[in-house]
Amino acid sequence: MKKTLLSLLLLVLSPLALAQDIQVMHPYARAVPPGQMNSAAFMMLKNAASEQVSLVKATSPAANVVELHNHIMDDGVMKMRQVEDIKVPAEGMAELKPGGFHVMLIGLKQNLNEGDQIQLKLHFSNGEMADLELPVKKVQMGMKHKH
Amino acid sequence: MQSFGKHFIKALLMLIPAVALVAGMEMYQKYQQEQAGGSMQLGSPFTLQTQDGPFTLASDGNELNVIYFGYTQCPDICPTSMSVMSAAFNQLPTDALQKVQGILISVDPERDTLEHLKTYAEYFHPQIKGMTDAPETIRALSARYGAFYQKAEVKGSAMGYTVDHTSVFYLTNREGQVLETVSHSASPDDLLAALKKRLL
Repeated sequence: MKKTLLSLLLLVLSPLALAQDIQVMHPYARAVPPGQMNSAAFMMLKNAASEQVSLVKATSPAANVVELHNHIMDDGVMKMRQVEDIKVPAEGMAELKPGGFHVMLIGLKQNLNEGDQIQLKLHFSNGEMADLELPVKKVQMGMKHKH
Repeated sequence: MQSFGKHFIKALLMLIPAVALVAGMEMYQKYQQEQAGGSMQLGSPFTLQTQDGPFTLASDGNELNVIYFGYTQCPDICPTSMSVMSAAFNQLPTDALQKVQGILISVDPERDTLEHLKTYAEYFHPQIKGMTDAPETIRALSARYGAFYQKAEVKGSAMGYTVDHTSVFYLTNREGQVLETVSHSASPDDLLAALKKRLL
């Protein structure tokens, strides 16, 4: 009986005990003008594992399609390309930010106004998932105040 | 010995056209550079369509114009650049700001309506106008500014196509002559410095 209780307790606590390797920090989606078809989400991904983990997929009820993209600057020309995954190095970080890697929201089902919240689900190569509530923010460049 | 001298002279003679060719190319290059720096002025006046009617740079433009070639479905680079322009404008004193006109020229006229261009540009700053015209007009105009863009199919992406493009601010005078270019940056500092230099 005691054993059963203990195992039950372990079962209940195990999701908490098994802390996720991937931590998502400061996620946000870019506020866009009304009628805009696309937007992007940015964040910092922190990997506590001793192996590389990749962000492989993202889904959101706010957009028809969600893809992973990157920007490359090729001889002064900005090119955006879809990527298969976004790698987070072992015990390292990957930054998704304007002008670089981003989660692309294609075919927005709603206007993304500053102050709104959207849901985003991330899938990682190690099987982990992250359910996020993203604040929608206007990307202000070089403003003094930090959020 | 005599045959060596003959060969030597022959070799020397053969060198002459090569030397002449290199010298000629260098002179041509120098000439071209002079042309580009001097009389070959980047930029030009233009008339393009906005939601509120035609806009002519020479007459409707401001003392200083900041021109950016982009498109509204551009998910990241263009909004970043528009935010940079907006942030730079917001840091100008009011009287200086009134002398500037921000201009977004869409290189994707097939997808960008004038109505949406207006909403899009004004969303970032009321001092930015969105405009475009027929694809061939935009193509010719971009060439006069030294801007480059091309459609890129994104395989397997729901985007259909994106437009690869140079991300540059062109500062022009009222006649559309490019005074200075500011390259892509995620910070408004460079653009602000260039605007201040011209306006303050």
